[in-house]
Amino acid sequence: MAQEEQTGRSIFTDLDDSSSSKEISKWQRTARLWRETLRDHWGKLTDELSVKLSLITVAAFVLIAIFAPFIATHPPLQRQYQSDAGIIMDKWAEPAILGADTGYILGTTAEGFDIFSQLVYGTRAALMVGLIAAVFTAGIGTLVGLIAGYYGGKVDDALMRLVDFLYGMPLLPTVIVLVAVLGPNLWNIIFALIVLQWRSTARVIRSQALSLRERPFVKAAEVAGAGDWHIISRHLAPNVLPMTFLYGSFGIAWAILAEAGVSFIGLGDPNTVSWGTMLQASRAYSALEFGAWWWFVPPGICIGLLVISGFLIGRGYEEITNPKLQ
Amino acid sequence: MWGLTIDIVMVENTNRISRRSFLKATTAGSAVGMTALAGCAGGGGGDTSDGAGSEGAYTYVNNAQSYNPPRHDAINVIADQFSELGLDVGVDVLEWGTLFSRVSEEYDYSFATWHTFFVSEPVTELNNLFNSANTDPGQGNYSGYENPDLDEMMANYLAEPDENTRIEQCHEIQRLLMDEVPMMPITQMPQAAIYNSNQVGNWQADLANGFNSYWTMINLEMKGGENTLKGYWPETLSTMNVLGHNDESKHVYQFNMLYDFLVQLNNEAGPDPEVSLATDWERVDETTMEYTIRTDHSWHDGEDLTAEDVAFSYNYISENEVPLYSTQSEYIDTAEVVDQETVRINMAEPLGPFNLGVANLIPIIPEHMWADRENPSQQNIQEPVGSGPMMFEYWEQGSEFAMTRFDEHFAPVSFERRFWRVIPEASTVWENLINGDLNYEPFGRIDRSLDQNQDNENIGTTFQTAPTFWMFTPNERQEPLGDKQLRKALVEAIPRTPIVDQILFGFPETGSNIVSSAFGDLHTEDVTEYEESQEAARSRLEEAGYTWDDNDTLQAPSDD
Amino acid sequence: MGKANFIIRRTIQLVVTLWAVGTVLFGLFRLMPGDPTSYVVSSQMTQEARQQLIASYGLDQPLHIQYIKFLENLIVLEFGQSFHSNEPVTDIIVTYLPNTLVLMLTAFIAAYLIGITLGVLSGWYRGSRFERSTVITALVARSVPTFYVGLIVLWIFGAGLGVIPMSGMSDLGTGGGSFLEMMFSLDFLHHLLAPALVLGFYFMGYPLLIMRSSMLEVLSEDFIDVCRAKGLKERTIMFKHAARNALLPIVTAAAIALGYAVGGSVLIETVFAWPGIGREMVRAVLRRDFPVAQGTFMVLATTIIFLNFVADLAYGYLDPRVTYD
Repeated sequence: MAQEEQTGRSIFTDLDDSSSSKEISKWQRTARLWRETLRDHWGKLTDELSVKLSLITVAAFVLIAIFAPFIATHPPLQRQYQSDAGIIMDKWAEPAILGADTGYILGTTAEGFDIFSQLVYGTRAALMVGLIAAVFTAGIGTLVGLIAGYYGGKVDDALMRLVDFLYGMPLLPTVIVLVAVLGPNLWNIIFALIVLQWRSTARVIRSQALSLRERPFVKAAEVAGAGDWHIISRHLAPNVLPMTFLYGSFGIAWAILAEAGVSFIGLGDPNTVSWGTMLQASRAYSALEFGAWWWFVPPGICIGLLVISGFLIGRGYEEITNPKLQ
Repeated sequence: MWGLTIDIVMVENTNRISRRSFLKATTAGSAVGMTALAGCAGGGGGDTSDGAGSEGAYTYVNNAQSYNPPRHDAINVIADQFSELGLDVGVDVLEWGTLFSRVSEEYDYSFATWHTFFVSEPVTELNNLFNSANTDPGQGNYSGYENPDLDEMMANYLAEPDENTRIEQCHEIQRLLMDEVPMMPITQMPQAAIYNSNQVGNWQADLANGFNSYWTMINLEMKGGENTLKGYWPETLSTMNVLGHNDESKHVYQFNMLYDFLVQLNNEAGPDPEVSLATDWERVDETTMEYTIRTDHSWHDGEDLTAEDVAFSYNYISENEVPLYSTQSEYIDTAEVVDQETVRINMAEPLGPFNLGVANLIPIIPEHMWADRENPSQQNIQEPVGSGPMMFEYWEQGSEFAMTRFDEHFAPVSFERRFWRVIPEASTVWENLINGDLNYEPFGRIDRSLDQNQDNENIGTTFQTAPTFWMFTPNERQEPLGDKQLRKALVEAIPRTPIVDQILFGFPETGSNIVSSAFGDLHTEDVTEYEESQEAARSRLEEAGYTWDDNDTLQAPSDD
Repeated sequence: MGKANFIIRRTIQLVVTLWAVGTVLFGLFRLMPGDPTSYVVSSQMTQEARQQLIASYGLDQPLHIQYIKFLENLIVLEFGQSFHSNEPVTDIIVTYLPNTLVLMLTAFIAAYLIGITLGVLSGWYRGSRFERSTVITALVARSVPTFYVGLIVLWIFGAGLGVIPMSGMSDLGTGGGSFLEMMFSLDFLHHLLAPALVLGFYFMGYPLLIMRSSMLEVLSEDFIDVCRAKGLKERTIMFKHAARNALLPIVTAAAIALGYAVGGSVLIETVFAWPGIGREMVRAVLRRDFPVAQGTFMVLATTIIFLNFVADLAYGYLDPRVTYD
């Protein structure tokens, strides 16, 4: 469990502005403030074992994604042939880890693609979808939430009606329609996810911003003549940050799950290997019927691992944002 | 006279049958749930070595994997081989409808492959595909091949009354086409009857609808006390309106059993009065046919089926310009009742093979149900009333359709019921076929499941050469694909045997002639043969003046 | 502002949201690549026949006319006819929606009953091994895609052990009865079991986690100590006092989650070949069957919007601290 108030200063109070000397520029102060907030979070987060394990898992996947070309034994979408001369595809090869003398760690698919390499490259797609979608959903959501919450009135009303509208859209069907319109590629899937998913972050951050706006330190800054942007970035943003991260890490998980679902339905990017398209292909070729579980099982496990890591990290943040849960 | 008749028949048949069989053919093999019917792009495709997308100089359009896994795979293999030959090929995975219009209407592609239409006569279809007059968008000549000699040969054939002369002419046409290769058959796809042999037997196919024809059904023999014919389709039916469906085979196969047609065909593609509503017919003159109708037949709801109903059906379909039968309607002027058992049909223009081209295709519908219906193709029919050997029982959308035997029919089926279950998953289908929950496979997938299960003691199979094939078509509008030598080289680079052996488990024959041996005497073995070899392709290209640059990319010879 | 005012305002919002969803939908479907007419009209048809069909579907009208017509029809819940079956879209919805609802509601109710109970217990026994394992189970349930779990269940219990049917809502060749007859047959329950369990397992995690958090908050409040001081039994405190007070967030969360459950039904329907509305929607989208796609999508969106609305109202009624502004 995270320790309580050891740093002596909760991230929920504002940083002490008066201590700043004149020679330190505004920018540096902002940077320091952010750095300290983040370090504080990190300390609390890594205190929990499950979060630590999750971070390690994510880090491992990140490494795999970065070094995919070195780890993968074959290009993921290159058909393997038995010899150089003839055209005999290496399809349905059994995995070498089960002792088959095939040279393919996890065997090959019905088309003769190396499953292990697909799994490795699938990490890239998953992380790309997860991280990009999460950064944008959390980022847009936070920004919109802060602006709505801080300005209130008409701005708030307009933005929140937009959020209400997005809340009316069923996630998967909307993504399916968008992808059908824009064409099946990974970027369109990411785009479709971002368009919809920032709604929940925005709503939560707004309500936080609403209450923060009434806090003394914000009022004080206003009286001192601080600009709107100054207040939003220096006084509000650091305080909603845990919530942003919380929704960001959930965002990773949801994005990966959604991509897998869309790919499974057959609207995945045909030119990119993702765990979702692997599952779809293994089903199209009845992999389980032929006992080729090594084609079907690993992508699902990878999805599960990465997604649960996202959830656990999110929960870690939840405990920071809501100390009662500790 | 007979020659002319046949030709025109074939136009009709082609028009009507080709579309449906085309749809059927291209849905074959889809395995994933609801995407079966129109599966959008999916799955790992485009296996050019870098896994890149479609930014090549040439675009090979491919259907989604989930839509038809083996064909998706085959196209990728061919594209691989073209890359090896030095072509910069990208594979574009398109949703089926988009792919079809890209190729057949917009002509926006470099290479295309799909399962060709069922046709009852080859040259009518070839005329549609390769006639120089059909090269405008959407007209049919999507390959862009133009050859005045061929145009003339096909016109001569279509006008030729003597059968033997026609055979000679057809051979000539094949020789020319196989030498010029505007289109190459990759694999000769078989018609397949796949069934549970403990429950049903005696499978006889006809040329157009294969093992799903009327003839097949009325000849089936049930076994082991089974009295239900149990089939499946990967997707739900769309409608119960016999005049408002889209001609997909899943509908045609049902309506062929629910309704009667004036004339039915046997397994030799001949009109058979024994099993037809008309027991006799006579050509009164060039534009008049008279049919003698059974007088003891009735509708499924018990009303008598009369000569009035028959005349009504023809007039109604023609007057309402039912789109599904628009080609047939062009030949129908009026139909009139001569007496209780005779109907006279007056044609709008002479059509020799009226039986094959019209009478076999226009369903006879009950006047008492349809007389007040306007805009027939837009009707929403809940319970169709026909007079065919099967009666409507129930239709649960998205899950099941069932018919029961109409005991009073003149060509009764031996089973009491037939149902089709919607099952998208190939593995589930096989599970059910083997344990007898299903007993036939109307869809005809050719895949690893068939390969593994065909020797199962419960499973019976019957294969028959079909006139259809997976075609390879280069778009000659794109330079330098208009060059015959390049086309020949490409054909040599297509690994036909590996595709047949490895992707299709040896079920089809490798393609060698655009006019299949299913056409009997019209087919000849004496056509240009092509090796399957990269070396042959390369040396052919070298001879034709092609070169390869430092990246081994093929360079067309310059014109100057 | 008063309660009536609040309800009126919410209702207006509901209508505006529905209009916005409809409008966006209309725009999206007309941006689709591919010629919509080619799905309706055989390319082998005569040109005249083609034009006639295109006109009869209103596809030849200018966009704004099509849009106005679309809105008019939306108001009277008239979504037009399917391009493929000519069946009114309303009928299609009536056919498929109940199938989805039965499956979703069964799974949902079971999941919430079990999830809430486990949530209460894990909140109560904070720090125990029991708590840890339930929380981990809940997280796993939400992390593995439902379609994946579904396929594995089918593989093991369907193809392997043969104890559950492989697809659909009834045994092969036994259709034809009314919906109600079917629903109360043993055969249907047999078919419902596997997809409902798989879905239920997935749904369960959410109420469990919320209930646990909510319990933790309630347990830190003073009145629990008061109860203890009164000498009430642990079980009485846990369920009667703590759980009841912790239930509030679940009510709103449940309403909202149910909406999204219906919206996300397509995956499980695909795996179990369940003839539901989600699958029908995807089918229609891929076929460019505009009316059906729009109609089914609107139904899914309306379900969500309406349940969000219900959640808002319920929150207002249940929590006396809420003010209506």
